[in-house]
Amino acid sequence: MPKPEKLKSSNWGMIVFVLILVIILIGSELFFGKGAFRTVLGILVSIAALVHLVVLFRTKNTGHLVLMLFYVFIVLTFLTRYQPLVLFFAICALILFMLTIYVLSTNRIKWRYTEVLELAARPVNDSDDGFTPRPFPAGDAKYTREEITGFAKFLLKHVIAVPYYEDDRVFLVVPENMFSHLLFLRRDYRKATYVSFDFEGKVTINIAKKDYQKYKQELTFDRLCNSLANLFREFLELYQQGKSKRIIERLNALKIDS
Amino acid sequence: MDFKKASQLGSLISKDYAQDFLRLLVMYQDISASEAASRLNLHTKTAQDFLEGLSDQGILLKKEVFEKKRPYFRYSLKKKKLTLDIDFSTLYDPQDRQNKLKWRIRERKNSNAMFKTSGRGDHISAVHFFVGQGRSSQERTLNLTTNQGKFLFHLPFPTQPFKSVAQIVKKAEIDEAYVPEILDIVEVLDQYKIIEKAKD
Repeated sequence: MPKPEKLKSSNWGMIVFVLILVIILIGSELFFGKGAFRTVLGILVSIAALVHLVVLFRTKNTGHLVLMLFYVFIVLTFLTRYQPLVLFFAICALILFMLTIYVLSTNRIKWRYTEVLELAARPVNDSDDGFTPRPFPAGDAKYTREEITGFAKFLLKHVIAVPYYEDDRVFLVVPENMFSHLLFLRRDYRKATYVSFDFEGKVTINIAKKDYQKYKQELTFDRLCNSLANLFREFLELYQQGKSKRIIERLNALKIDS
Repeated sequence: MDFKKASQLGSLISKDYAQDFLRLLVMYQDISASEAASRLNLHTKTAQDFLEGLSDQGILLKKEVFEKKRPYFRYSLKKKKLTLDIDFSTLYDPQDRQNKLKWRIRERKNSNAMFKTSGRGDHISAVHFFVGQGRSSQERTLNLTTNQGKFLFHLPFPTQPFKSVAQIVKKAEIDEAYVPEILDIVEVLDQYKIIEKAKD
């Protein structure tokens, strides 16, 4: 898988998270025996299923339904004592496992944070820094309130951005960790990286410092903000023309392993 | 009367002993610092400073006299009425306004200022920055008016070309009546090196 050109490639967060889970599972077996291992596994997988259920309700992305069912059948397989049922649940889990592989390989539930930041940075070649935590007024765009709301729902479904609605505008937050927003763990979106569209057609950009620091170079900040605005304007135009599929194709074309 | 002079006069006549002191000056044809001090139970230096202050303001006449070849001063009131007339509009120079509107500015690179956005996304509600260095540095917060916030929202980024204050005011759609408060915040931001001016 190709690495991003403009962004630093680092998956430490996810690696550490998986390692912790593995340590918990191995530890439960080593110190408390097989029974504890089954219980801990059951709890962890149930939490995973619950997370995907909440995300399914919020995004309406059916990819999460597949993952949720997969986790549910794993739990059922481990917890059921009646052998014929165990076999049935195991077969279902296996089928869902294959569907999960399909969902994951087709990027249906992939967070698009890296792709969005990478695409925004591609046209920017100067590295004159100039970071400021102020929002950037990025000009105008043409859309109706219904169009921008529909666009926001589309971006949420494809986990490209999480929308927050205010009286006069929609904030499209591009978070590194979607779950923190989708599971209502984080509400302070004004300090995050976002593109906001107000209902008078004005576009505003904010790039969080921690996201800006993910770039290999100190890219000229106003150009980066402008480029991010142009990217979302382009996505919005594609959505308005009924070519939403091309947005996903554009993101997939980067083939970034993140 | 200019503001500085009025402020000094105000400070003098607000002293605890000022009323008694001025009553003496009305009653006496002239008086020395030591005479007034003994009469009002003040230190001679205090009486001397008060009389010198009023003399500097042009309220007292100061006359040098000699007693056994030792010189000292006697003070008398020049006039028994004083009208305080301050024109506050002189505190703001319209010519200065025209000059500042031509300033070409943008945010300074690495200014370390933090900008807080308000409920509405298109203006800044406050600016936080640090004054001083090291352990003695202190945080300062400037709470902005709505129009100042709109102005700051449209201030060019550190890597953008400079824009004149007038251009930014126009872009932010700020009414002419609010220009003085915009110029005030521009001056403060310049003082604390949050913005930079083009050198031309």
